[in-house]
Amino acid sequence: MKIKIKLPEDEKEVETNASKVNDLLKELGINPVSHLAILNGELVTEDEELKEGDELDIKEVVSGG
Amino acid sequence: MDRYIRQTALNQVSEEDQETIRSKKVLIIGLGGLGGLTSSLLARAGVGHLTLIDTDKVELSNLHRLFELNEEDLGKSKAEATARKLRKINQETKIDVHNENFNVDNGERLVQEADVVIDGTDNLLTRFLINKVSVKRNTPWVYGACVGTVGTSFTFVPKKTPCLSCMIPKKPICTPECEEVGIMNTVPPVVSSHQVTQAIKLMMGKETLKKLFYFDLWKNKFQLVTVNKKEDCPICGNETED
Repeated sequence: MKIKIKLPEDEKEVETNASKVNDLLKELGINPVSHLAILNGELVTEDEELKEGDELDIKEVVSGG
Repeated sequence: MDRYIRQTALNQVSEEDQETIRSKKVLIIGLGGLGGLTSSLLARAGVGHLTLIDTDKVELSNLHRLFELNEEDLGKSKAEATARKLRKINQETKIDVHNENFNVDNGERLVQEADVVIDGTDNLLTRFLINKVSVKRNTPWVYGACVGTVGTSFTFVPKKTPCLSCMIPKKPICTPECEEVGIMNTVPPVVSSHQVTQAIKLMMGKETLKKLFYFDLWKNKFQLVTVNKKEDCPICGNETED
């Protein structure tokens, strides 16, 4: 299925067989613990199911101050 | 009340609200780029009592984003140097200073004494402690963080909103730090301004934003993200609205 991915420095559409957010993040080489996964505008956990046409926005957890 | 006449001229802030703000006590944890400006905005807005806590000393590399401090403060305690400036800004605001880290020994007492807690820390470990204690003491707190050109904020209200552990369930071992990737000095004021606006709304008993504010100032991207409460959250999972 096709998922639109938004990364801090990139935006692309990927073809994937990953069924969950965690699987897709692994495919992309992204550590799920240090990133926020925002699926269609809503923050989700890594075990959230993916479906065709989803938009996944990936942001780093911010800890500085 | 002449001092606050431009504030009470707002439709959103009545003279009664101003009196309410004066009666409140705010705990500011960390006095770097976020906490320093936050404390100044709150003193100028007329908050009656501020408690400052930070163990660090002022370093030269801090001065590009510590707007109330200057070269004569180098080497001095951030908390004490900030308190000195605040007393010159508004003598009506009572200031308590704690030259120590916010920790398990002092955290519960400090949070219990406050009406609102504002996060000015630079690490997630302390934020998870603030979260745990604030949920336990039923005290709202306003998270704020920034690095590079990115900033974020969320207003946590126990029993009404998700908590930090709902938002970040697993503690990241490694996240980008200002020491490594830098910080643009225009970013902390945006986060601080958002935190203080939310804190003032909390003090006035108004509804606060229930979404994560996340922005990249360099890219001109500003987002509000929905965050849901987790029923199985180990920190707030059993907390429900009265």
